[in-house]
Amino acid sequence: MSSSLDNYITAAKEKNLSDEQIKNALRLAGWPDSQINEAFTPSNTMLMPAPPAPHVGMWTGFLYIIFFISLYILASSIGVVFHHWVDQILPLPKDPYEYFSYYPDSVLQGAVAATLVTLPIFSYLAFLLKKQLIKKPFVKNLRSRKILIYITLISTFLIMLGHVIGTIYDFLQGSANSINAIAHLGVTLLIAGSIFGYFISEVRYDSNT
Amino acid sequence: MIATRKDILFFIELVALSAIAVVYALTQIPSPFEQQKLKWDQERVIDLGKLKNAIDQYYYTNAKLPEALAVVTSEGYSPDMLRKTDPQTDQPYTYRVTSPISYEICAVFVTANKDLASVDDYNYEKYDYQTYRNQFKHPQGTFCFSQKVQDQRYESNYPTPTRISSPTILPLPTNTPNPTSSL
Repeated sequence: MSSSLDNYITAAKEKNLSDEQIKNALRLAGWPDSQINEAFTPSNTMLMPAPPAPHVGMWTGFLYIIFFISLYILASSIGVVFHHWVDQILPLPKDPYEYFSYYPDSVLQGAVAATLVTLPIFSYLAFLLKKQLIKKPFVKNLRSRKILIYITLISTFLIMLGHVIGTIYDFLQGSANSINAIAHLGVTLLIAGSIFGYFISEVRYDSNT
Repeated sequence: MIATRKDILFFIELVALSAIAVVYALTQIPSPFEQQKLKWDQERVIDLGKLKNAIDQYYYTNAKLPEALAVVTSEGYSPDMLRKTDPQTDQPYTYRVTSPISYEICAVFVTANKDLASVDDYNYEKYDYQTYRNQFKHPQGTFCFSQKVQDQRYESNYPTPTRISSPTILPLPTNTPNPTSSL
């Protein structure tokens, strides 16, 4: 399209001439209707540029992966220590054929070390990512975040389900010390259930906002 | 907008559980300082156990006890596995011959393992220690173990085997030529 035609239309609009007046003036000057109509079609008018789609970088995805890994290690370490505690408070009858303890010192030492390392990482990332989510709500649609939340939901659900089934199975076989078994089940439901409940509420919150 | 109540509650729960777990675990395991002491004593027990085996080996080979630990070789072991000095003080272990077939070997222990159960403290990391701990139960302080060489070549608790004649079930055939085979 001719730039002189565009310039004329722009200048005429600035002088508050109507579209019909401009078109008549152009026809009188000899411009063909096809070019006049093309100059007035919406595709050739200056449109407001659409805003860029919100973009979340890979760095945020990486932070979510680290956050969930530290959560898994932290929860496992807490679980090991609490299960040990249950066996101390509610000991099982001594098995004369058991050659070694299931909880040597090294297991507790490993759990303490893992907790001391992962708790600060988890806490910092929980604060950082929540702050980012409040500031940029579109982060909730980040694919890696959604995948990790659903993996966590499935894992914690399977852990709880397996432990409940195992406890009932042992009870039916008559081989379980019922108080000890129920206490172990309570530890699992407390830790895995808290994580499951929190992320279920996150999923609901995401879908409602 | 700020973090929701569920965020804060979940965070507080995990931090509280972590704190309880760490405090509880630290009451159950020895302090790092105590652990170091236990490890030194366990290394001493392992050293003495391996030295005992090496002294037995020396006796089998030379038909006499070694005059000093310096002449004991690490036959059957790689050289770095037979340590003759204390891991903490680097002082040599005391060794004394008390008779042609007995000797004493001494070490200074910083803990006592005499009251430890033999099963409950099983730990994968200390397999060598588990091999020797029951032979070398010790109190805290300097302790000497009286040992006697065990020459397995000559000392046997098994009865001497006696020949038992098996009953004859069928008479053995005689080796006579078959007259038909020559035809």
